[in-house]
Amino acid sequence: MYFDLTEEQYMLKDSIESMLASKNEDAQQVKKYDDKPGLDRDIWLALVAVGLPMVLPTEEQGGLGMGLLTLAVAAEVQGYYAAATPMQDHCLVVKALADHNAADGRLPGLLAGEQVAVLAWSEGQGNWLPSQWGLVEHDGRLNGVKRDVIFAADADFFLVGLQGQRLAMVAKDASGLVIEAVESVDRTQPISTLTFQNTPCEILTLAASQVGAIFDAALILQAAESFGLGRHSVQISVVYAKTREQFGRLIGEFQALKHQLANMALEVEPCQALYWYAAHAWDAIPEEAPRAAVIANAHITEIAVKTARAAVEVHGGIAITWEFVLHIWLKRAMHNKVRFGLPAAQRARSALLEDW
Amino acid sequence: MDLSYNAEYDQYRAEVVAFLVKNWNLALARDETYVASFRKNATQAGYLYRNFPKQYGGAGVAPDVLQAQIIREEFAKVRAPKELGGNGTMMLAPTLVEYGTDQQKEKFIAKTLSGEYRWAQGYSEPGAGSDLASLKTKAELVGDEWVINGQKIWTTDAQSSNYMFALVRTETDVASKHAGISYLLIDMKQPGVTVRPLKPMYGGHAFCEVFLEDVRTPADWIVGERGEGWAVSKSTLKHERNSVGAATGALDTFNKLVKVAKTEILDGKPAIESPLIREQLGVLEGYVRAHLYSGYYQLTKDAQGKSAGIISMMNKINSSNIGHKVAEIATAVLEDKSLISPVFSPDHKPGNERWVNQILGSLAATIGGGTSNIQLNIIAERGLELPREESKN
Ligand SMILES: Cc1cc2nc3c(=O)[nH]c(=O)nc-3n(C[C@H](O)[C@H](O)[C@H](O)COP(=O)(O)OP(=O)(O)OC[C@H]3O[C@@H](n4cnc5c(N)ncnc54)[C@H](O)[C@@H]3O)c2cc1C
Repeated sequence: MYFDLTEEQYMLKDSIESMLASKNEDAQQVKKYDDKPGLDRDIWLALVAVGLPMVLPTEEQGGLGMGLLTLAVAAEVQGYYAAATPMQDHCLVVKALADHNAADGRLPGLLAGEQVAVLAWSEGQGNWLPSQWGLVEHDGRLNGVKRDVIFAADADFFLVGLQGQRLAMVAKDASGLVIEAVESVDRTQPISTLTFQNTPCEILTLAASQVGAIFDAALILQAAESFGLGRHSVQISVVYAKTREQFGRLIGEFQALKHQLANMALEVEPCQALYWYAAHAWDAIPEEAPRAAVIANAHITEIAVKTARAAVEVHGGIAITWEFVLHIWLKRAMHNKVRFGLPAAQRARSALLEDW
Repeated sequence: MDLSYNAEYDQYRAEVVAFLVKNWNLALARDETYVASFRKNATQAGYLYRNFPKQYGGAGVAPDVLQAQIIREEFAKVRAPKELGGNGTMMLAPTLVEYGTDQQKEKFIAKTLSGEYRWAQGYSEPGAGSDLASLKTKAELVGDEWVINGQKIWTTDAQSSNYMFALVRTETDVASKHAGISYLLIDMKQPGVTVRPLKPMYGGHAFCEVFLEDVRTPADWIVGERGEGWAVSKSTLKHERNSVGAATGALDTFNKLVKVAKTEILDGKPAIESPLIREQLGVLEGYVRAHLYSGYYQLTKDAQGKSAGIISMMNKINSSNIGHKVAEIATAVLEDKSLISPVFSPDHKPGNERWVNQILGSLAATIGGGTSNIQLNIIAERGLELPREESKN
């Protein structure tokens, strides 16, 4: 048994880490945070240069076939640095399109990161899951609404979830498509509402199991990202506890603080193995993947919020300010917890999948 | 145990109700002049600013916590305005009643109660939060003036305040860090006072940094004696507490949450029909009601002039913990509406996404007025009489 990343995966992780550490360390983030929310092109191009869009498609599909675990490790680091790009969405659209037709004319531009693609799944009121998609296609046209679409203003293509667990591609300039930005709590992943009015779309020829696999992969990548968010919350809190003094000593000397921090670490650290397992299952034990994805997503997205809130409490007044970094992670964690369905909805699905 | 108020109090309630019927018109709630004159009438009738002396703009009635509770209940029913909020009416004015000189009372109380004077609480400093007594802002008596130098932080509403009540270090050769502190009143509108607003993570205004450079205040604007500031500030902190007030607020929030859960749709049904939401709300209601009824008990003890014991040390953290739980349930109920940053403007009233401010603000509540850890220390050390964790300064 070897339950660990490969050397290659560690190298990829290191390289993304050092890239993001130079482009998106905490102080830089605070500066960027007041800009109009949107795609961080600089980071986008650097992630593309690492080859992330190539990771999932198989070699026959023109990709690298390195598997979801590799991509998930990259997502973890992007969470840790709260990078403002839709890279995970993009990689999933690429995979769906490659599964649909490896010779699709849109693929080269997407693989090269020249175009950006994102997921359009939510219909509001908790309807994120493929079984809940209600948007209907008639004669290749769409009429209706998709909500909570991230980076819509920067995207060239949308992978839209349709009734019957189908997926369709819609181009940004498709007729009758209106994109309305929403003032988002999480400014690192701004959201928009898409309205389709007789908008042309192209249904992808994917089996239901393939659509399901794309959804599972989305859950897993988000779990990985949320683990990164959680780890950042612990890390920054530990550093603070070792520098802030009250009552003539480091606050980290108080056992109350020690136990708080230890409990935060205790919640977060085991999540690494949980998302690794889910990603590995997606790569190698497909029959286990749907449940592993749900368990990892529900567990980790919830813990990321809990941990970010705990981190705010550890810091005291400073963490309530806009100028301090912590709320950036808190808000992203809040977003991830809701996106693709709340933990409760995921767990209900997990119970059904296991026939409980 | 008897939950009814006796006949005397029933009579009192009837008077309050009659007053409100005659004097309060909810349709004019936004008319500031109307509201100000209502407050004046209500004060004269003995319903607001009850325990402040008449000569300083109060009602001058003897404290009676049951009457106060009746007023709270009846005013809340018809949404009539209560006392102005803020540091001035809730902290400074009661402190002056207890410790102020006649001149201080004369000069400050009435105009504070009317809202003309607004006050900032200048306690916390960058290096002195939980360990407030380590504060460094210094005041030296030069001639007939105090000269003040230092910095305050997290000062709520400093940008809109005329005055600050501040804790400053005036004494050096003293036995403890607490003994060197005095309580001064400072005019904020003078050279040397620089206010820098800090944006809170939930947007809007909340608190500020205040820099004090050779700021001056008259020698007799000290409240209490030199070196007595710590004790004086404790009286302020005492006034800040209102056990039942906070617990009623928690019940209010809970009821609103239930209402939202009835209107928001989750997976095709009102959220309240979800077994999980029902369970979570049910658990929360247990905490809310335990908190509320503990407030009744404290009210009773207060009325008898007795201490309610350890339970009275639990109000702040009980409210904070309820806030955490509300935030969690609100997220589940709102679902993707919790992703929207609420916009408040004259021509836009946010929908249920305004709960985002509760979700984020519940965190501020765990810190302001003493962090949850400090509350737990108080329960452990004062309530359970466990050995104190010694401070090293
Ligand atoms: C919204 C808001 C409004 C405020 N308004 C005002 C105001 O108007 N005027 C004013 O003067 N102040 C105000 N404050 C400041 C507030 O009182 C302080 O933030 C608070 O006392 C904590 O201090 P700190 O922020 O320095 O945190 P610190 O004291 O540095 O605390 C950091 C961490 O260490 C922990 N800690 C510290 N000591 C101990 C210990 N002995 N045992 C265990 N854990 C410990 C704390 O619990 C916290 O987790 C406000 C704060 C907020 C958030």
